[in-house]
Amino acid sequence: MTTTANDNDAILRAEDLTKEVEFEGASLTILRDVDISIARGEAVAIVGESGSGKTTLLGLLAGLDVPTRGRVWLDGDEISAFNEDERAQVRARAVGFVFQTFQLIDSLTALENVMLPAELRGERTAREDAIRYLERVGLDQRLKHYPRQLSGGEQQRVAIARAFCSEPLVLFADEPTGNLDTKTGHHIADLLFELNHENQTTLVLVTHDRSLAERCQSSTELAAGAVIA
Amino acid sequence: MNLRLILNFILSDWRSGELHLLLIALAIAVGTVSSITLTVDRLQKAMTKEASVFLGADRSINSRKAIPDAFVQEAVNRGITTSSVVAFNSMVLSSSDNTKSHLASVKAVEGNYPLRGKLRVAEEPFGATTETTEIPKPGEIWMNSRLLYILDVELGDEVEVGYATLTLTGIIESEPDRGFSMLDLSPRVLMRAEDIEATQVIQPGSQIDYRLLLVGDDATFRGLYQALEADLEGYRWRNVKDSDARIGRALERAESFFLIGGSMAVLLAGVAIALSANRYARRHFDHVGILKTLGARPRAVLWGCLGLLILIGVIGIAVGLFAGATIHFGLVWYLTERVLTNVAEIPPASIAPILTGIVTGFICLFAFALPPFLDLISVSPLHVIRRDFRRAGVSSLITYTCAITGILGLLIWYSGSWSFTLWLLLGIVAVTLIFGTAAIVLLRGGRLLGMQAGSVWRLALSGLQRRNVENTGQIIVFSLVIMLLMILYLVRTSLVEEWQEQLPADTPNHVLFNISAAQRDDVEQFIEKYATEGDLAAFYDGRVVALNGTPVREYQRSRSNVAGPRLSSGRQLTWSDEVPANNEVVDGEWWSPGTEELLVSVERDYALTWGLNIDDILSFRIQGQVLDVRIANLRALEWNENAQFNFFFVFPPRVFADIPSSYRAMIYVPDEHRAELSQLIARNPTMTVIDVDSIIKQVQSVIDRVTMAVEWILILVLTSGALVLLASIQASRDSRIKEHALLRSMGGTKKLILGSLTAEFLLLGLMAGLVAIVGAELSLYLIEKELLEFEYATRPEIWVAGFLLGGGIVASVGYLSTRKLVRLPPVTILRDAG
Ligand SMILES: Nc1ncnc2c1ncn2[C@@H]1O[C@H](COP(=O)(O)OP(=O)(O)O)[C@@H](O)[C@H]1O
Ligand SMILES: [Mg+2]
Repeated sequence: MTTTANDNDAILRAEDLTKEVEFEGASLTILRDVDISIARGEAVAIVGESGSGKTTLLGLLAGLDVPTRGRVWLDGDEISAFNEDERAQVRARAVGFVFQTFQLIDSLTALENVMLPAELRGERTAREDAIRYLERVGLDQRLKHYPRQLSGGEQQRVAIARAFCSEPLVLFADEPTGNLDTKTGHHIADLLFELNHENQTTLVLVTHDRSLAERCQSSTELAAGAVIA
Repeated sequence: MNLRLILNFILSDWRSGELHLLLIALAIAVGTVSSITLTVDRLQKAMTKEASVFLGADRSINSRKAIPDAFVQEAVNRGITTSSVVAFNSMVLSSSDNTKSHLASVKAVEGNYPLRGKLRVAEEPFGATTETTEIPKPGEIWMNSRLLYILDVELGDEVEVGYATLTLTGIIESEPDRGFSMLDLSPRVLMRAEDIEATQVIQPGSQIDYRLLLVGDDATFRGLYQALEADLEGYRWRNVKDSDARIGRALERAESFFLIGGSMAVLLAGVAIALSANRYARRHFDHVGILKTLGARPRAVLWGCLGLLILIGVIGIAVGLFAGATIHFGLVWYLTERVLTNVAEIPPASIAPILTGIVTGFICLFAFALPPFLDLISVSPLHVIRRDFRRAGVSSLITYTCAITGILGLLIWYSGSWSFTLWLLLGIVAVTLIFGTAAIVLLRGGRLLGMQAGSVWRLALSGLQRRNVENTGQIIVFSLVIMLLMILYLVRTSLVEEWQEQLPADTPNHVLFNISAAQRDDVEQFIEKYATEGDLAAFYDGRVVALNGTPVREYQRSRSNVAGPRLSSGRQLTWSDEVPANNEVVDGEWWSPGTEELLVSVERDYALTWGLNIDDILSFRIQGQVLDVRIANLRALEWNENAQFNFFFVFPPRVFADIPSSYRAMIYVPDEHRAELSQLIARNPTMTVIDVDSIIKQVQSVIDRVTMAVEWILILVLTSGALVLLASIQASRDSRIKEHALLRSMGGTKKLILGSLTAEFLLLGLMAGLVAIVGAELSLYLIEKELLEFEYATRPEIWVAGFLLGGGIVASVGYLSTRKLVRLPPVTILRDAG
């Protein structure tokens, strides 16, 4: 579902978003004229076949990448006009991620992994918050464990605790259950939605799983780089 | 089919640059080792050859007995060139006026003399000299300028040596094998061995020095020595190092230095290869896992890995040898064309160093790179399904055994010394353990500190902590490298300083003898105007005849087990009102100037040897008079100080009041004042001058060359040290890439991350520097005492250098090599980077 670009309540808004990449001399359009607007506190699913451009779109919305054309506003800032460092500051302040491949740091314990974003911002009171969130995701017995001592599901729970611990305005999740078996995947999805609800976070969830998409308030479907629904 | 698949993987690795670092590490290892060995091999030969001038040969056999023909035959059979020299003292007379005669030291040589070095000859007495390899023909004789003056003869005149009449055809000032004795007083005469018989000077009981000069290569000499060893009783086998103590020491220490330097290069190269191989293997668990899921059998993977290693080996070694040879030939060109233009040819390169390079390459590769590759073979196919699946892994025991055996073999082969190798290895194991502990402690401390620090430092410190296992390893490697470099640098500095101290630029190059009291003023004026530094002393001949009333021979017999200079021998004596320069009174008191008492000051070791004590009465016979003097004090002095005269006995001036004196001077005359020196000699023809300038210049040029070689080795080893740093930082790159992308996605700014990275490397470097300094101080203490026989002194500059090297270099290398990582767009995190 697409709302209008000048929707005042939108925390995340994109206009005519186009991404082209150079490939062997030719320019390849992997995302074409996408308009999207997401309201504060809303959970939005981005669905589509593999290769349809979901990850590309997520990267642009989160300010990890810059569009070839078009504009992106996040929490009032036009991040598509920012340079890399300014975007980094916006991310530090307002954005959290959950990745398909968990992306925990192997040499840090579960607790230290969760504390990392706060450490990056130079905050010193992160420890209690981190413990609280790890308890919340049911890992209070595993604080001192290293990623390699945890199962995939447990690792993703650490990643979720890490994402929510810095209390982001928008949480981006790229196929968060993609690397997990169905049952574990369901548990993780439940956790994600519960925490999202508790924290009033805006959730942008990329998935090819229709049942997961149906749990969001709205969904946008991509095919071959363009919005079809 | 499997092999083709493996080959494809190799090809793709090659294209993606995965193999480059391993290859570069190997190439540099081989390049450094081969260029060092090539250079050392040739420079050492050149140095020895140059130094061989002092012996006039590569080896010589000296004796008071005639050298047996069997010796000559044995040498000739082995392809060694020989030349006999017979030296004796004989009166030389002018044929036209037999009242004109003088004792000369005669050297009779064979036609192929000189085997090494050149003669220095003059066109006219006391004139300018030139170098030549010509010698007198049979029936001819060459004499020293002074003899020409004393005998009142000119070129073309006839002179008599014993019963032989020879034609004077040349003026000789010095020859190669004369040695460096300034006190070899008799004027030199050179003639041919063919004429000895006619002189009839060789009679039973006459004092003759026989020398067999030998020229050949080292291996042949070893064989010859073994063959002759049993018969060498009464003959002295001498090599270049025996000919001049300074040269000998310089060469020996340079050899030790090359050995240490070369071994370090091998070690560093090994570490670089191990690091790169490890990284390569870690990145390929997936590949191998895939191969296995596709049905590759372990054996096929093994062959693939071996094939890959051999391929890398061949390419790396070829490139390394090429680079090594290029560096080497450049170096030799630079040394001969630009720096040491006046020295003898550098002997051609031999094949051995190339072999060293090749063997080093393969041993390094298999000892250091094979274990991680074996690890690859044991990768379980499950690794593909679950990335974090832990492989069974080759036990670390095998890894370490492999590396240690390899390095042990290599070092033993390289240094030819078990004990040196074991000490070096023990040292490194100890250092690694100590460093490891120190690193862990430092990292812990850093974490605690980090809690209070600002955000860049806080992040840096937590970064250090995050990779603490990796960082401990890195600190060990960094500090080892820094430590080795500091040690090498300091050893080199001590060596060079010591060498330069031995022969300062104004080392006396002329000795004047037979200066009469009347000529003394003239000489003093000359010294004041034209010569730098000099020692002028009165010389008297005398000997001890009794000690406390006991005749000296009787006393000597009572102490028959004493070795060293005899008490009864003739000695040179002098007077002085003051303690002679560089002498120190260690017992008793120096006399007050102008004392009327009959006293003597005795050199301490001599006094100790003969049991002489303060207040003992020594009776001296000095030029016909007998005097009883009391021992007033004992002096300590440095005998090999060559800028001044040294004496066993020094008296107050009063002792020689009634004895005619003769003076000697040791002076440095710069080249531009040689003409004035000739005038001085011409004005005072009874005075003798011995010119040791050419000898000093030769010693200096050998020492310059050794110094140069030492510095180049230092640079080469520095290069391989830098490579290890780079390899080690590269090895930590992979975990950093992943981490930085993650930190960026969490909103870390480029500046923050770059800053924290630099800070992290800076801290890492400082920690490594600290550990290295402690290690270097300790090792130097051992090396200098045990290996190089230096005095150990702690050095403030290494503290500064340690931190600068550690912090500065590690931080900048770290910054430069990771800067690119930070430039990667953060979006890579979504594409599963690393
Ligand atoms: N840097 C790139 N260069 C070339 N093609 C790319 C690049 N990034 C993405 N693509 C292509 O763009 C399309 C969309 O990719 P992606 O956004 O990852 O899809 P999804 O996440 O929906 O599976 C794919 O066909 C992919 O191959
Ligand atoms: Mg995707």
